[in-house]
Amino acid sequence: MADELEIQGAIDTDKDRDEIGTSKTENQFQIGAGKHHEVQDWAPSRPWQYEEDGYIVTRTSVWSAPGCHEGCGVLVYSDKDTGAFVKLEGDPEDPYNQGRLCPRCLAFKQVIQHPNRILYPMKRAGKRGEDNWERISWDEALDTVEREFKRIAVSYGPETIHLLRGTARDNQWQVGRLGYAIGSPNEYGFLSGTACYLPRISLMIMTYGGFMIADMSQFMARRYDDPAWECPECTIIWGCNPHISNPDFYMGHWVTDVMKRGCKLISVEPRVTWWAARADIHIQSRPGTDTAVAMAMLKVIIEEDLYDHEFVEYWTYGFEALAERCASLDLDKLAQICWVPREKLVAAARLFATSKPASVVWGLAVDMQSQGTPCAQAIAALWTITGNLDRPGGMVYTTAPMGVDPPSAGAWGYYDILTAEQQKKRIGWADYPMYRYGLTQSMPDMCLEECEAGRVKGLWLQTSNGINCMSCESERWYQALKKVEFCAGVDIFFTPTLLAYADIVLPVATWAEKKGIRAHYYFLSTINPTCTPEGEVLSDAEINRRLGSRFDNDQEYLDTISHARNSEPAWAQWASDEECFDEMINMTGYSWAELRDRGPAYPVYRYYKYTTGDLRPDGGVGFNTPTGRVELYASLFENFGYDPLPYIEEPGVGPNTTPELAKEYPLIMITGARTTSFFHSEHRQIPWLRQLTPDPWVQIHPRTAEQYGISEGDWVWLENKVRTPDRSITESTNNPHPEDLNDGGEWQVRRCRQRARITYEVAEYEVAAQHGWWFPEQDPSEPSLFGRTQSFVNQLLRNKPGRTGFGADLKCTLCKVYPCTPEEVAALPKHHWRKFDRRELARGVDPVTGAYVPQGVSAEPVAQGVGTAGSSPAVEHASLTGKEA
Amino acid sequence: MARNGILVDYQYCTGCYSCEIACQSEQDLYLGQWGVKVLQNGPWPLKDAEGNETDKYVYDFIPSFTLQCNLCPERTAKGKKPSCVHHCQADIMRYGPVEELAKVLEQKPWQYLWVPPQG
Repeated sequence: MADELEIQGAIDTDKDRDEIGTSKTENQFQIGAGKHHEVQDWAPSRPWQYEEDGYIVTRTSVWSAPGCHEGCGVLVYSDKDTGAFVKLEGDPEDPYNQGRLCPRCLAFKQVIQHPNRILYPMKRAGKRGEDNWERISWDEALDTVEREFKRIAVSYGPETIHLLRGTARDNQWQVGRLGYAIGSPNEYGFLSGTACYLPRISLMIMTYGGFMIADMSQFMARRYDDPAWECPECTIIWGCNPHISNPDFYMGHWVTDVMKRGCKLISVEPRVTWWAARADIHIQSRPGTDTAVAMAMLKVIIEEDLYDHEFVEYWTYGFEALAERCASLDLDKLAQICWVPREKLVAAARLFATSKPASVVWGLAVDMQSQGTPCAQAIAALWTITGNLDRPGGMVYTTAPMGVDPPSAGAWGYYDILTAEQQKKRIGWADYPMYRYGLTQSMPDMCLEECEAGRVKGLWLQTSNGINCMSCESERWYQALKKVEFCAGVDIFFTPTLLAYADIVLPVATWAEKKGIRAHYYFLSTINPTCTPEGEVLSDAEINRRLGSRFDNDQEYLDTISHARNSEPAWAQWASDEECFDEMINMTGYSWAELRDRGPAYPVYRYYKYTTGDLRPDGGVGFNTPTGRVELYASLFENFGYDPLPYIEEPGVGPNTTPELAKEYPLIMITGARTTSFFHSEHRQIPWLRQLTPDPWVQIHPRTAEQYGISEGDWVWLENKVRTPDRSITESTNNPHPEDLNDGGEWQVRRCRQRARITYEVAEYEVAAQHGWWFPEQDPSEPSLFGRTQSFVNQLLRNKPGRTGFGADLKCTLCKVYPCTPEEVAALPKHHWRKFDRRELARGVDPVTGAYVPQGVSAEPVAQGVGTAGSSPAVEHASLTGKEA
Repeated sequence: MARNGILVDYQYCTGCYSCEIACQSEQDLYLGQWGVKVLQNGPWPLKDAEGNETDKYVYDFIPSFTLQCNLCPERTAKGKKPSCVHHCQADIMRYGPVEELAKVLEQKPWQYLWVPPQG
């Protein structure tokens, strides 16, 4: 039957392992990229800028900085005379957020006008780790970076310059492209196993030829009223707390919108989140066992004959092999693995399979286990065999909006600018071939070992607070990065990472102060300048263009490093940000200014694209995969030497894997639980946000707390021990998993302090700790570095990727918990974050204790880094650095 | 003049705290002072007849308004919603005349109606 459809294979796999996955075509996951798209018949009623009550009102889209994955529509009110930012509100006309905003946007005024914001280029006036800086001009700053990076590239090779970013968004391609100008392919974040969506994305690209997202009508400008959309009957929220977890272009409250419209919920989640408490079925699984849950559900759906025969037969490859794999598993045993009653797994499978349409809102927990790849494979099979692929209300393919591919995909120019030879110098390219799919970034665990070996000579940190956010065994990263010869950083605030390494610091514009393009999945819009920029800040694009052009235009440099470009220069062809954006969106038919005037443009969205040839660059029916079908059996995995079917493996450490260790450290520790107050390690200095979560917390079950003598609010130690293996990259690749107790290296006890939040939200056997904590109010200098080790939980996590190089056990490790002694609590640094609020200081807040004191009487001299209320931002900023401007 | 209020459908309040900050930034309030504060109840498990914990949990967030709430008269005079209602991510607040809201209240449980004493 299936053969009658004449689906042709789309990807040639009959070539050497090192040649598979190296072309743009094989990695073309933004559906419709480069092609002109028809626009939906919708436009905002208001112009992009107008006057209201004496203010200038400007419509824009919110993207970093500060970090944000959403891109909500907002209206910014600025002063008519000075252009200064006054206030903002959600744009009720914007289809994406429909006027709604989260606290981080609502508190934005305290970001843009923060007394400690970096406003001028700075150079270090002392040793690294000292808080001594000198204000310099942009020319001097860029001259220095250019000179040092050229020296390093010529001496050691351009690939020894690593470009690091935070979660990025519109600046993601800009960081990579600066690297391409220099000649380095090594661009990445610090995260072990790149355990943030990339395990899922690379899996979906390789076996589905693109990637899918739960359809909550977000592709339609008229949203829930669009007749082409159907409300899902059931959604699984899988390892996700969508309304607060900074989801990727996915507003969590769309799920409450569909709940109100009758959608049922299944929650697969170790914690009793708000969603779990509202779900029809809550699978409270043991952390790190999601693959067992998914395989159990697959087994029930296949063996009870609840799958979509027609879809499976016509459009998939390898179903029989998947069914055999499921048949080899015992349902009771699966239930034992994930610590969930068998009947709940069966009920969830039946509810999901009999609901049409149905979808999965999945989260980072899938990636944050060394099983990331097989787990994603099993979950994707669930929505596929039940016939929910690319149908209204199901799991639908994301697109390149209006044909615009690059802004958040990282790789604009990767295949065009870098030579094939230079592309292969990307770390991890050969060892972990799945890194050829998705974002073209380097393999962080291998990069760490490169840094430790002293082979990384130059560092570019663009809005990345790596050592206090993503890095695991952070002491290793902290020590390793000290070896770089030169480091430049771009940010809006000083961070522990900048204090520790940066020799030059460059001030960057927030989203409200720059031009940009917001392009992801659903619609295309511009980021518009809404107010006069503070100080001398420049946009990420402008910084990178000014710097990158200096490499593009230096033929002697290019000749010296043998940087033979494939095509155009990286940056030098553009004289302004706007020219660059004009080219980026060229295929839309709009210029940047025309798109700004038009407002968000929603391309016409079509479902069932596999039937129309819209999913493949060659225009063929089917999918952009080796067989042209959805590969439940991943043929590319065969080429790369991985199991082509989903399989179950225990986390690297845990009660079953390392029972001896579990006796000493009996609790399973989940990390990364978020709040609406912060984006990862950001926003700790924003008073309106910090008041929502003043201290880091760890959730502990009431009976567990009682057992360990812990009361609500106590400062407690979280402790485990980590073995840092003494072995080369090659050896670790050959024996990546599972961890055992005899794999070499010395045990090192690691611990950090957080405050106990006693709650039934976690089970008795687990605790959930917050990540990304540092304290902007504490001493910036070494050894404190803003109190970087006090509460930073990643110190307890290991750099240990899964077999494919993707996934790491970040949400499923072991720990013990015990109260801090009264002496330890008394010794905690006392400076208070209230000092970041000028009005609070004016009221007489003691910057040390946060307590109110009578006006004019200060308990202690104003601490370093505290601006005097009422002084100008420039002067306050200079006081942060300990120097006068 | 009709008395106005805010109807809160807290069945779907997720505890995102947008209302709190929307209000503080609209009124430029000091830290720790609120026109609306989100209270959290739970999670805690319901018990069955034998006293065993079940897998059904109470877990509610309830936006609780204070005397600081003035229903944003400057905004409503211009036809806008109060800032908390405008920005509520779960879209669970409705502003309007009490008489109308009371009818909506009658149609669905798990809601409450706030009417500020001064307005």
